[in-house]
Amino acid sequence: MNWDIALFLGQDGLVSGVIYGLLAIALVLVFMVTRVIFISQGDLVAYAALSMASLGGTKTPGTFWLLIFLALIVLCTEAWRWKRGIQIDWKTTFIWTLFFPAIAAFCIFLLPPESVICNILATVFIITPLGPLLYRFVFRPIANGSVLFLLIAAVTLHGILVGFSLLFFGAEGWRISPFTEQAFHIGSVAIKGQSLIVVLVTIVLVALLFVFFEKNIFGKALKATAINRTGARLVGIPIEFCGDLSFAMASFIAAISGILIAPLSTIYYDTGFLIGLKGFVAAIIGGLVSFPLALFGALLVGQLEAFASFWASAYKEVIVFTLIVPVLFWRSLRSRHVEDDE
Amino acid sequence: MTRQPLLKLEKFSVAYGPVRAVDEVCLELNEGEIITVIGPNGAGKSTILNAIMGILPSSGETWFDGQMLVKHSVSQMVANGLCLVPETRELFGSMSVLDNLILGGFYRWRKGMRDQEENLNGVFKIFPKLKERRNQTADTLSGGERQMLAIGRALMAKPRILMLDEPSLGLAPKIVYEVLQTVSSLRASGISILLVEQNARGALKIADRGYVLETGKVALEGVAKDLLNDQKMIDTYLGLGNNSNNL
Amino acid sequence: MSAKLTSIALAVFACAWVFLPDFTVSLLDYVGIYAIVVLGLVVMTGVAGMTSFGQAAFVGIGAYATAWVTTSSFVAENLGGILGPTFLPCVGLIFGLIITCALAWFLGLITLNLSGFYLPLCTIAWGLSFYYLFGNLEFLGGHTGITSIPPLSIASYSLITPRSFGCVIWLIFFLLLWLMHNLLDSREGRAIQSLKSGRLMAESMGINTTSYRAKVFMLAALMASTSGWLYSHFQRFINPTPFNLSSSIDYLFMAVIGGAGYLWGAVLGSGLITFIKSYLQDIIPAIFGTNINPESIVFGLIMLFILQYYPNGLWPGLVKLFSPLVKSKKKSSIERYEPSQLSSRNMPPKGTLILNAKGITKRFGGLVANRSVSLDLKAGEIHALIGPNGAGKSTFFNILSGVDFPSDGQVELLGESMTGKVARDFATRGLGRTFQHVRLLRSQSVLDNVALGAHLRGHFGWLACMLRLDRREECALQFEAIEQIRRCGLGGSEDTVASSLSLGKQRIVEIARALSGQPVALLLDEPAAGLRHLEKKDLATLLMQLRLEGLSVLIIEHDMEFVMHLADRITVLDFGTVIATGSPQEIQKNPRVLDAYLGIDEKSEGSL
Repeated sequence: MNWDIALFLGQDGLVSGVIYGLLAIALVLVFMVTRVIFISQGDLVAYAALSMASLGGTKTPGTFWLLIFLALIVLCTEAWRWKRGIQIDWKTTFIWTLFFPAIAAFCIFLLPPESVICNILATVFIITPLGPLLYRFVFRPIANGSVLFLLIAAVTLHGILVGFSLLFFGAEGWRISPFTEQAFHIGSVAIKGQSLIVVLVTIVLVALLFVFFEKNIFGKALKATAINRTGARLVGIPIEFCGDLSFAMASFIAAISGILIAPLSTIYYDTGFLIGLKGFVAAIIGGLVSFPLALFGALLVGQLEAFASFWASAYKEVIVFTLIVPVLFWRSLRSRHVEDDE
Repeated sequence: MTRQPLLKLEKFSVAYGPVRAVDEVCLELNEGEIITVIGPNGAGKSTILNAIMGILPSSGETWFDGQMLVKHSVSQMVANGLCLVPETRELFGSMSVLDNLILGGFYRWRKGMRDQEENLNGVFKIFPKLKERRNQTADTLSGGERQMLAIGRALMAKPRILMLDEPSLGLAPKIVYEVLQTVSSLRASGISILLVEQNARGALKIADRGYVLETGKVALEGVAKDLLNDQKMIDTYLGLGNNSNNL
Repeated sequence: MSAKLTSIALAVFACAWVFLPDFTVSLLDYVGIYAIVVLGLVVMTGVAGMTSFGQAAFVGIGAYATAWVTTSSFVAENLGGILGPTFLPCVGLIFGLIITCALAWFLGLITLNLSGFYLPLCTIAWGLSFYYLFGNLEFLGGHTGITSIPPLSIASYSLITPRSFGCVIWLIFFLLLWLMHNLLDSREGRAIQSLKSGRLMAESMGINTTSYRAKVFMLAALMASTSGWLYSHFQRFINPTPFNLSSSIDYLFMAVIGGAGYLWGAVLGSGLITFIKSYLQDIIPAIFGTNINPESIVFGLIMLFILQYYPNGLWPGLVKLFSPLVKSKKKSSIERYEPSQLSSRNMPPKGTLILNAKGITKRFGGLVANRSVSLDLKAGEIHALIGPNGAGKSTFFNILSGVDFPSDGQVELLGESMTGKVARDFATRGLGRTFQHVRLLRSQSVLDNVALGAHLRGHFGWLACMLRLDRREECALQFEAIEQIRRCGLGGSEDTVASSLSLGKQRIVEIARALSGQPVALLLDEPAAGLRHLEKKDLATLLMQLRLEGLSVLIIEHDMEFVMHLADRITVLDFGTVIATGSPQEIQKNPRVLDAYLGIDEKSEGSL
């Protein structure tokens, strides 16, 4: 182990850590507002990466058809609920079921397929509405269930999404070329341009999220819904829409994450799960409530993984996952054990 | 000229399974009034407020500003201009005082009304202590300050009707006096107030009219000043009233 | 399910076993292997409320342990001569069980006290760790695994065919089913069922929840390990793949779909999912062509559907469908046994000081909830603790019952200082209590709920209960429960499901439960809340009768009228301090009490 190798590993770890961080933030966000532990965040990241790769090969990604299919189902369900007298928020429903898919279709079919920018746009518009649509299809009907029940539903959904992934993208891995081949040199260490892009985009995204939650009133409203549902209702915060919004933000983050990692490594139809799991570890380090701690946890996981893979590559997963146990223990001690009392 | 009452409950009932927590209550709140609902514990006072707000389902008729309400959801009530400060306050503990207040104005903001800054200054004028502590998180405030924050947050929505559920709960007598005085002064801004209280004397002193509830029914009602010295009311509170003595 | 129906079903199954086609038998073998794991999960998750996403790891341990023992040259050299091929697998089984036991104990120590959803998350963690470990250890064959595992054999007969091996599988399953049924149908079973409704109630009945949770966890782990042993000798080769998170999730599915909390749900769930998966694997390629494999999608969609529409699993629905055929279990099934003697307590004479709280102060950070509160309770009296909302009554009550501890002062029960002791110790010493929000086992009968209160008066442990050695004691416990139910005026409702009773009756059940522990002091938390008028009358009559019998009763109440006509002494709390103590007549005239209830304002300083 010398400085060069350490720096190289450190850079590697930083890039993975940052991706895990994005995943972790999305997981914490969704959990805070809806109490769903959204295991499939990783699957959506894989969807985004694979869609990018598909589009790069000038093929219409299967995820687009999944989006259309889901949109139709949700439209039918909402119409049926409306007939039964339930109040429906048609505006937001149309945004997820008509607006986003339409723009995605426009990007795919009418814009030049060679342009990386158009592919990025298309991917974002395909993946982002998947979140709220999945929320409405799977989680909203059982929203009052226990965290465990929601977790089981999330796991079931994961199985379905992986199945679709295999169907759309096959068992072969996909890869796209990096956005830039540039590399900078500090001493003898090369800093890849691609890595820089990843870190920079993440910083911008995290900054935007920070501003949203701290400065924007809607961001505060989302946070408030997570803190106190009843209080949120009393001041007129639309709880259901908050569920939609949190899933939409999570899938937007997934879209960006997928676009960022597609050039970094080969993505397979089931890569999502492992990435998601590591992001999940990071989120747990943050107790599923703290964004900064989750980010820190993610960076830690990234570094740990990078160095563990150097020293004992076979056991790197064992190390990472065994790490969770003492963290959970520590977390559980810290979180105020509120007895299920009166 | 008699105006329509702003809020009217007719044969209003709330049931928990077979038990009627509120039993065919009739109540009226006129514009600009402060009315208080008092009574011993377990009489159903909080239940009435929660049901009016739409948190609990109810039967019977609810009239708002001359119109009978068909849909009774929380969002509907907020839209109508009702604000509830519940017994448990339901503050956003880990958010700052300022954020709690800003969120109080969320509904107005959503509807395009951008008078949050102005309303905020109004609330700070009524509760100067909140201005002092505006950057502290809500869960670091004392009991009395939390109560003020809860009321302030409700005021940010510029409600037509403000409903307060036992604001004196858990507060030291001196603070109770302060809070009740503040509630009394709100009348000047044109808000109509429905005050549920355990502290009967304090409530009756600031109210125009009062209703005494006992096991879900209205046992007594009248002008607040008269009720203050009514022996029957005192007996009801101590469980020795004639109404309850049907053993 | 009744014994008669079960025996018929078993007989049919045994007969059919001979005639079923090979493919079905093979499938049923897998169903049986899975069902053993799921049975443990049903008890752990469904009954005791602890979710595990890591059972596959224990299956793996059992599988690898026996695989190693029976194929390793090391073992063959040292033990091969002594033990023939028949016994080596048994060694493998025992070896696996020992490792599982040790691991489960260790993991349980760390993770079982994790609150809320941290436990299942932890199980995911170590489940994953083990999976990767299995795949990386060279002496376990790495990713290829271990092959040529010998089959089970009895004497010289090798159980190679699915049909013959299946007999062992199902024999073991039904044995375990019988043991689990016995366990849940006993005193210990009641204790396990109470784990789900939170620590507070169980601990107040004297149940050591930590120890019980650990035992349930270990039980489930041992069953999973046994399943692994069977799997190894059935398949005769293993690799890490089936011991991953997906399998753990599948087991949980089987438990939930079948009906977590219902033992037969284990078979239903395993059978259903195994057959559906097999069916899908056959017909889907026929419909969609062999290039596309959407089985997991269809499977997932079916599971989602069941989760949304049958959140309690399918077994309860099935039972309802067939309920005309199945008679519900009556308590009379135990009346064949002579009851044994239960441990009894001598009631102290009237006037003895039972409970004595001296100078109790409780601070929560800066807030003083109780300030130097003193109260005493004597045998043969009813003492009421009243006060306006927020006065600190609940805090004080929690301290009196051992749920919380005071910042200052001490509580003495029957003369013994209870400082540093927990709710369990209070229960052992003779304190019985009820709860402000009724805490009954909602799906159980009144009889089972009340019998839970007598937990400390029984002695037979887990093994004895599983082997049905506890029947005489169980008889006595049930007799005691029936007597308390009748004493409280609920005779006839013994078999009624607790959740179908009115709130008033449920509160009486709680009192009966407390009474079956033969308490010297009874603490009641707002017993009259939500009661209708007649119910309050009945409650008052009951309490007066208990007073006559020498019991000491402390009531927290808001209902002034109820209390004034019932209590011998009343203590009034306001703002955390005692403002008055005395007879009801004295209290009614006390100006400070009037102030507390009617409210103070600045001008009137208290006098009426």
